[in-house]
Amino acid sequence: MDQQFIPRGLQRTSFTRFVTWILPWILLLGIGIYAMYLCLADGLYHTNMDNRFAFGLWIYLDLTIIALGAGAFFTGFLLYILRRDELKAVINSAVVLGLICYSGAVLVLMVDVGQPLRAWFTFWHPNTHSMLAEVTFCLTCYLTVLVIEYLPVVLKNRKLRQIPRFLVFEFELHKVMPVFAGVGTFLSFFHQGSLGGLYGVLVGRPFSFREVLGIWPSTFYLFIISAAAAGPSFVLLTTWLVQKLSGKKVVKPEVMQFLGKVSGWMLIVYVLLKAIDTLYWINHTVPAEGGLAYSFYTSQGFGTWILFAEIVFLGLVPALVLLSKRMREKSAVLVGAAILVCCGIVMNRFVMTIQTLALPTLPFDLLMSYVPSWQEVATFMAVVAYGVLVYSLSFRYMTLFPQERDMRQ
Amino acid sequence: MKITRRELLTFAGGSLLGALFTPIPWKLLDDSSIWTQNWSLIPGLPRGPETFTATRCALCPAGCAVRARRIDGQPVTLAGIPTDPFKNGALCPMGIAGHHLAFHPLRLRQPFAFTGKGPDATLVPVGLDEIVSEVARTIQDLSAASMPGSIAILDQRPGRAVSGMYREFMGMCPQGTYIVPPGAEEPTLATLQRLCDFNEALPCFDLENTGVILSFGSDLLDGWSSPSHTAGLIRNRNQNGLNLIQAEGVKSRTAHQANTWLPVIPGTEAALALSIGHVIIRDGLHPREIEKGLSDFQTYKNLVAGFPPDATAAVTGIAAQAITTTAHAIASGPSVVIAGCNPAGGPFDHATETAIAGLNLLVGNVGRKGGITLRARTPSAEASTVPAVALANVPDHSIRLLFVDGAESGNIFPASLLRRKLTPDGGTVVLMSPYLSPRSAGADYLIPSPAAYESMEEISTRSGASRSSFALSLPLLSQPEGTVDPVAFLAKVAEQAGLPVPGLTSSEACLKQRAHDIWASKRGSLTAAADSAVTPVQGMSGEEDLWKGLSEGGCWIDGEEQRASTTRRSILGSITPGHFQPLTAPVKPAPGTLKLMAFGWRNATMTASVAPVLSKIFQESHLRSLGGKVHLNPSTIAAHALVDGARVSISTQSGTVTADVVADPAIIPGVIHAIVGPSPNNAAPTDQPEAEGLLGLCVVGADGTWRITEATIARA
Amino acid sequence: MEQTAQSKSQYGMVIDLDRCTGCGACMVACAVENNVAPAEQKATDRTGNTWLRVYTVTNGEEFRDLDTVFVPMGCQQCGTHTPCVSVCPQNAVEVDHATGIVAQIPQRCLGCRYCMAACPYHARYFNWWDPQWPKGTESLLNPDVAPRMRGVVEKCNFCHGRLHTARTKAAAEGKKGIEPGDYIPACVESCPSQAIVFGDLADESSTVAQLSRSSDTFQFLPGLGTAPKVSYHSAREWVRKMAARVPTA
Repeated sequence: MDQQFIPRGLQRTSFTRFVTWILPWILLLGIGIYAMYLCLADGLYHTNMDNRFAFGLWIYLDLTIIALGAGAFFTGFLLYILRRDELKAVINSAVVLGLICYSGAVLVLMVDVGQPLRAWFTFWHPNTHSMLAEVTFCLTCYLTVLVIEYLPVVLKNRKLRQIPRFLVFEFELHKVMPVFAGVGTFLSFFHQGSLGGLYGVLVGRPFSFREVLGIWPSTFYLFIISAAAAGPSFVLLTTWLVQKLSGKKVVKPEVMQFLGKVSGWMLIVYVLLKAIDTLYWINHTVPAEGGLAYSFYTSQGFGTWILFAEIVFLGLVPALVLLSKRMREKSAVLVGAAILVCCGIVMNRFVMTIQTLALPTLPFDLLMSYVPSWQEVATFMAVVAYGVLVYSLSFRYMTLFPQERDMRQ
Repeated sequence: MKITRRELLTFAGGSLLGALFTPIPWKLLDDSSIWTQNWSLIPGLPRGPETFTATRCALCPAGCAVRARRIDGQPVTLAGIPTDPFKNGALCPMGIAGHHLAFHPLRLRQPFAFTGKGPDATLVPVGLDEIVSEVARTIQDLSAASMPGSIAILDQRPGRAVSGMYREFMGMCPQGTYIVPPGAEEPTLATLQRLCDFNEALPCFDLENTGVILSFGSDLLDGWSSPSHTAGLIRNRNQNGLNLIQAEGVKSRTAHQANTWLPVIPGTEAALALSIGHVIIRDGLHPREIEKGLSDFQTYKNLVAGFPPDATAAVTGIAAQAITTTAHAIASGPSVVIAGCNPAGGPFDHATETAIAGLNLLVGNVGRKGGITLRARTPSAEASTVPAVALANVPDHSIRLLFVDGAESGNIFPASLLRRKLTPDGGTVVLMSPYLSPRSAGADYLIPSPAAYESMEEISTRSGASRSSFALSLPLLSQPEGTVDPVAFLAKVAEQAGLPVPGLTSSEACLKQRAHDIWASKRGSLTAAADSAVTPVQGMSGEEDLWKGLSEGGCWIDGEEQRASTTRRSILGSITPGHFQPLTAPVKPAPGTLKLMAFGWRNATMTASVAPVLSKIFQESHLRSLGGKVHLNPSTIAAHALVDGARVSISTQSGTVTADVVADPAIIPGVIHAIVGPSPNNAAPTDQPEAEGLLGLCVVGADGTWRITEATIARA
Repeated sequence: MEQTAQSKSQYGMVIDLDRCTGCGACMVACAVENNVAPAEQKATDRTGNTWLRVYTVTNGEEFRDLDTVFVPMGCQQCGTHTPCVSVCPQNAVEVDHATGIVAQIPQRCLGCRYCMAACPYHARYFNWWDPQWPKGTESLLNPDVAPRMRGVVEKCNFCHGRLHTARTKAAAEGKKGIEPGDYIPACVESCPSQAIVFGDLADESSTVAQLSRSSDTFQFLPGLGTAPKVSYHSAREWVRKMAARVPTA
């Protein structure tokens, strides 16, 4: 029915089956929108956040999806700046993923803040010392960049490109795409870093506080590198998932393996730097504040196993796997390692957001616990649903994977 | 002229760019931020001239001095007055928010009738005249049927001028009874009045000059007498050398501040008191003249011989050395020994009160500066001939018509104590109260009296004060239409019932009468609020001067206190030594049972008497527990296979109630410390009075006390 | 404000933990003075709004040896590296250098709660609900303090409104500086035990400055370098030890 919109040379399921696929996601989106409405119209008491857990599921998942969505900027950087042309096969998909992740994160942030109508105050009265101001600026700018990068993908749609003005615009845009990619990379470095800096500057939270290298705490740099490690793995994973769900081959295996290799290299660097940083933190930073690093790990739920899980099991192990060409060639191992990498990033963001707030700061405080409310989960599921919808529509009506046409033969 | 599309677009683009240089977009941005600061949800603030009024808080009999900051006449902030002549220099948390009570969600603004008795009864608005005629008719029926003692009034704050009117009214009613609830009078002093004959004078504590306070469970810092006054004494104890010894089975706030805490096992306080007496006599610490001055000294000596500290240590849980030290402390100089009364747990039984209060007699405190001194009663034209009857002494099932004055004493008692004095059908109960308090359960009619700071109230002599006094709580708010002065209501009832109309038909008239009586007595002096200037009453030209001074926040304080001149003194009174026999050996509780003890904070025993903003203390922090919580020692929790925060059922012979457990090492093992307090979540407007909850589990004995009840606990 | 020879004040407090009986009068006085609404029905101690909060801390011993200390804690008015000031993305918090008071601007607050994550003393409170005032109590609000709506963060500001009143009074009387007795925060005024001493730490002769130099006076979390202007005093060693303890999870 919508055949005329589907790119030439590609095969997509019937319209009815497609509608059946997106309907449950629309339902999920609807529930989430209702949850958002409750929070906006009625108050944030609909969440289970409180004065001790001022940041909850939303901030945690925001940081996670921004880290995972880093594939957009890093793939762009590798393709347009370092001229790794094999990534042309996945750049469109990465951009869509990035757009979904960032626009979703901004949407959730608008619900998370108590006064969304005052969001523009950050631009009007910016505090140059605040990491969050930096995040706000960069996120907004980068989202704009992503929209600009997404435009050509949209405009190349079979029907739309029939309008000459769009075709010309898209062509001109494509010529300057490296500039945007460069800008996007620059902005991304900053906000990935400042998301790490968000917690690294907190002198009041010895668990997350890190000393400054240059002008930023070490978490700034660690977050950039970990995002650069997670991004390609996430692109790899989603591509694999698309292939599994659609039953079609969309990229050549070499591309996937290349993504894996990039991820592996970034990850091994990250693991090394993270290990050094952690040792320095344990032996120098925490004692200098009059604390004891071991005291952060004495509870049952947050024992030292967390440290090992994050750095070794979900860091060093998949890094070593991804660095081995033989391992990368086995599809199952490749995907498995990519999953571990993403889980490692998910865990790292969890530790930095949730564990930081759970740990007591005052001598008479105890460990706090927090379980998100259904409104929080529903809001986030709405973002997931939104992502699936945007991606599904993009996959159906746009050429996300240039290699797909070739691989049909 | 033809405008091309290009020209249009150029114009539009140029206008847009140009608009950036006008105030328009910036003002719109600013406006959006102003909107977010001024939604209709945000309340508007009162504006107007700022004034200050000196008044007093009437929430409880302490009558602490208040400096009210008013904006356009509305009270905005209340603060204490450090220079208060009564030395009540600060307000308690309830007092600080007292001006909010007029707008409490449970405030009554019109008369109501209950549709029946029991949990299904609902409130129905009813006209005042209808209630007056109903009640008047009931009085006429009862007088026709000649039923003795069947009409009564319960006055929770006796001693006021309006209390005199209530007594007069009961005198007019056929066989009317004037009742006071448990704890209305300070137990130690009331006991001393039974033991000694002070003629018309009243005993009091000379706290200013005392060296040692031995308090048995008195909430000195949490509501006894005037907490801010006591706080001042304790605060300055380095200078005044005060030694506070708190004997209490829970480490309360007072116990924490005490110099010594004696964790006496609940129920054995009498043994501790007698053991202290034993040491005093053994070591010859008592004044020699006491042996002749007390009519039953020998009986007492024989009695306390059976309570040597070594034996009592096992009974009370207090080491022999501590008992000896305490005895020496109170005998070493001027001291006061106080028998406590918890606002929700009630007083001790008579025997225990006697044993404790008697220590004052034994060491010679009575009549000594720094001990128990006497004050003359506040002048009143006619001493009433209608006696005050303790609620416990009212014959069961006798009252057919009961008026309850809703001016709270800050204390609460189990409803069953009152219920059993009413006829089995529940009688007719008229509650004159500003709030839908738990007292409303079982009531037939609710008369909305003025709320806090809406009317002129009396601040009569607070319990324990060493001089009689009189002051006024001046109103800060206007009364809404529909409120009814209790005195005016009773006068109307009297008129309709064909009784002689009382001489005073309004609360203010009662107050003016008392001021007149004081002026006529020529006693004492007026201390002005503004500059603390002291004017003797004798020197006043007219009684208007006194009334004017009082209406401006001044207070009248009586002259020199009297020395004790007693003709009769007994240390045991009507208590026979056999009463204390069970305490000579440690009392073992029945296996599996615990001691249920109700515990309350004065003025905070029910939702209706605390302003909603008190949620800061009860709900938004862990500083105080809400009503319905039970505090248990962690070892007790473990022994009954419970956990902190568990939901439990507590059963006594009065029934079963569910509650939440709070682990609290300040509670002695073996005790269920049941919090009787407010529950802000019940403050939503409702037509059902708050359920009694834990207090209803307490079993009231024949002597009218309910301090310890045997209870079992299980996971709910 | 008129400049005086001593125009740089550093208002601070020393709270005597041995005098505090945990009555809570300060908490209520603070709420009444600063127009903090009563709790919503569902509010708990973690979602409540208590600019000043009194914590109950025991020495961990059993019944007979139990001792308790009540710790009133509001904004500690950190002096250096003020954690909340540096993190606010839109400068809704500022340190007033003339007084040392850390002032919150609720009208500019976005409600991002970053400052709440930053504050180690947990002195900041978010309006999870729209403040609800029992009908009629709006006429009893303090006109010197702006009421807030939901979605913004608020905290103790040493009763800044009273400072303004004192300054207005001084200006009206033609004086250069305020009378110290004219500027007393609500909690200080309300304490029946006079446990809170308030004043200008920069004035060497003031009681608060002298008390802050006592060897029994300490601060919470001194190792973080926040330099709080609220200190605590206790002659009890276990209390001082407790305050210096590293919290364990």
